Amino acid sequence: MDQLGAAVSLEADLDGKPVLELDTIYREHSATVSKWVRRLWGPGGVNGSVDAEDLLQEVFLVVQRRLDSFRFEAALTTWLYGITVLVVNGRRKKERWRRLLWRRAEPELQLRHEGGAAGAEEDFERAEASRTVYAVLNDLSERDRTLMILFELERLPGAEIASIVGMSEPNLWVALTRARARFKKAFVRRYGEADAPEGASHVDG
Amino acid sequence: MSTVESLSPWSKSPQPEDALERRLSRLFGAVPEPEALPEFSRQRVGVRLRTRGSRGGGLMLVRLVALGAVIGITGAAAAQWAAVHLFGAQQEFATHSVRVVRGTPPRAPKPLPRRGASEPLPLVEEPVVTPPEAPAAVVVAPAAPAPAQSSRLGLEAASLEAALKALHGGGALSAQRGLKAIDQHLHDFPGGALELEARVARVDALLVLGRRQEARRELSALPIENVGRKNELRLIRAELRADDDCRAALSDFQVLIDLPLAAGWAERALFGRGACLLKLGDQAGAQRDFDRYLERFPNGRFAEQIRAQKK
Repeated sequence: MDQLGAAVSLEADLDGKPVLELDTIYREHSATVSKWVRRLWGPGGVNGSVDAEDLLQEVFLVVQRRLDSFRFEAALTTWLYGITVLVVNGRRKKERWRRLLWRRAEPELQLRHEGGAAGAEEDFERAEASRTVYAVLNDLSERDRTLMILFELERLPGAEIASIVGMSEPNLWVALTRARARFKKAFVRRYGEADAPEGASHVDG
Repeated sequence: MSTVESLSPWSKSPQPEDALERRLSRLFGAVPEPEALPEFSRQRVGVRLRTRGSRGGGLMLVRLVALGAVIGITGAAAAQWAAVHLFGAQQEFATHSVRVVRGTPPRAPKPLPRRGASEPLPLVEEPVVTPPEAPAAVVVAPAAPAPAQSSRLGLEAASLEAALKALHGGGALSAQRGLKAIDQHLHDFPGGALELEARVARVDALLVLGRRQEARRELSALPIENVGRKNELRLIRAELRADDDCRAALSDFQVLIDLPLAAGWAERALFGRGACLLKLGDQAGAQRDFDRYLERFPNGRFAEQIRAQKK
């Protein structure tokens, strides 16, 4: 992950700290943040009532509000990731309530892929893998889910995950070990111990 | 703790012994990287953020002014009532925004001064107060909050958003409609805050319509360093320049090749530089780029073309 990069103006304010501007941060980081939004939400996200654009906007509205409080103690990307996690998890919570109230099923999972060299079959397999993993992740608690995504899918280093979720590093490793154990358990509950084909079909909601 | 700290993601574990972990390793390894939102969507969010920011500030100002006016009027009315009833005196109070006149007919609001097109609309009209017979009650012209599109930036953003929608409907017809809407937008908001975004969208429309020369002219006049899509635009500019000015294109390709780009762009930049070097007669340089290309992208979109060229 890059550090502050071009998001920091060359000018400095009176405290000697670089000046951050929303426009610049948006220009430099909106593509990456939109990827994080999709990663954290999962493949069922951008349909129905939840829109990736809305989430991206929500993230940057929070960035705008909190820009003055950014202390340069962490990398800007880590700070942004932390905000993205909060926004996405907050929206997930709202959506859960909404689903509960209206008894609505989770939107059908859909992933858009660029046509790769290996063709549609590989795309299908990858979509199935994604569907399978997120189905199990959605059985976990919000914290376990986030840790698993950051570690297993984003493959971020422990120190950075600790900073994003606001945890000490030793605690993170313990929490992560437990989250992995719970993931395995949930996986077996859904798909069984046998080495069945990945992406066994399931219905959410 | 040391065993815990040695955790590594399942997808990176070299052949886990546990069958379940092997299965998970394969599964996690197969989950695809998410794609970023398309540039168009991000542009739209950027426009919304800007508009919302300015609208928020405007609304806050309106609220503060309205609150100040209400407090001032209420205070003045109370003082007037107290003066009449407690001291029997008649007084006239005036503040810069409030006028309380006893026994006089309501004042007509002052005509608004003429404003230039670029001047912002007034946020709050001067309130008119007409106290009836004692106790003085107060009638306040309501300070209506500024409507969402009252600011010039709001109008500009709405216009651009409509143009972008027209452009991204898909196909040449949409591009044609979008181009017309963008041109109208640029005509309506010359030097506007979103001019750069509009001109970038114009390049997109021209490219979809196959009007490469115009797209190239538009791109050459754009300060692409200030645009979020600067790498993509530089690549497009280089490819357009490569049509007839490989020397100019080479400098763009060079910049791009030195950057850590996404595979799709890196591939185009490497091929583009090789092709330009070949055009300029630098066979060895072109060969190096093509070899590098085949090494990095053996199944790339230009791989067959390069192999055919080498034969």
